[in-house]
Amino acid sequence: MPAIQLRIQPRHFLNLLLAACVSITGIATAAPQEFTHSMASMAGPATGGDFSLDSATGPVELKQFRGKVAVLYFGYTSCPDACPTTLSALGAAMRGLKPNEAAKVQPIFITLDPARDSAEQMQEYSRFFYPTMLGLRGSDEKVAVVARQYGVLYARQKVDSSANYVVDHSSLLYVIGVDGKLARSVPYGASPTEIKAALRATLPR
Amino acid sequence: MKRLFFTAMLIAVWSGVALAEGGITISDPHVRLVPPSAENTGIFMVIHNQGDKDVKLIRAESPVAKSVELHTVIEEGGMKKMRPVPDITIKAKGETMLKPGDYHVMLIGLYKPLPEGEEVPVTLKFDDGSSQTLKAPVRKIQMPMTIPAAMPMK
Repeated sequence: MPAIQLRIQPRHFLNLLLAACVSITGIATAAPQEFTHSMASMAGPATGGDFSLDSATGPVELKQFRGKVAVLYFGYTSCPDACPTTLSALGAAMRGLKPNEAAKVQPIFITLDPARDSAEQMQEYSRFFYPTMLGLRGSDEKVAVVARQYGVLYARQKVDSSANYVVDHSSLLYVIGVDGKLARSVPYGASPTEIKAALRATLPR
Repeated sequence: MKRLFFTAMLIAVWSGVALAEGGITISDPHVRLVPPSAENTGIFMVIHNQGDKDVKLIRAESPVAKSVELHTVIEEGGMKKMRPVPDITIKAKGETMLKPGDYHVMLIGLYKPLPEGEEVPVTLKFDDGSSQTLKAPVRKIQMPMTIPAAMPMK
């Protein structure tokens, strides 16, 4: 297993450690078969790279989109807030592109909650925000690997709520160039205009 | 049809504003439109308190979901975390905005999909004993905030 380099500022490290402890406590106190693979994905450098996950219509590999810009978002369909906000802005950004530009961009939504999100649910959810957005899922282990590649922080968190558990997660959009390499990230809360600019900046001139 | 819809929405919004009890008024209540398969969504609004004492929203009820709770979103260690809260304070002579990424009323376990324009009944209960029932229309929400643009990856 490759060594994971942790380049985290000390103050963030404490928070991550806390998140990890809370998550591990959640695992220890919850039914083992439910939470065995849940873990806080420690932040590492976002190296990007290829992956293979499942869609409602079969396996999908990131490298299928070489020659196009891919834009990734990690979340889940029960996500109350960050996901609808970000995917909505991404959809609006896509609609703001010229048709020949939009045709060269592939939006992808990956679930961090495969226990509750089926491939069909992921497809239906994704297409609501943009008709060609792909919804992908994989096993907890596979998702953990992809999340680590992209430096995604996430942790299942039991809450004293009818929601049972939420998945805390970092909320960046990852923009991948036509060469398959991670080009840039867009922070949470970016407007459709800003997302569109990031997509345009990544498309070949 | 569009005019009827627009008028209905205006009436819905204004009926929300017109209900003033104990100095509390609600403006612009709305429910976020989410995909039909989504189980949860949020209700947002601005709560104004014209009274001399702080007031707390302690409970919300609605028939459209199994559970209705008060929530906030915090950011810790680079992650967005949604957490239930026991109450939401509206300061005397002040206002509190319930909005995405912040305080909101959470509808958990929707009984059926809520299409755009549908009027969702919501009852809000406050610690001064007052309560208000209003209708929040389902709306497509866009976040126009501008923050620093994309950062190139090394």
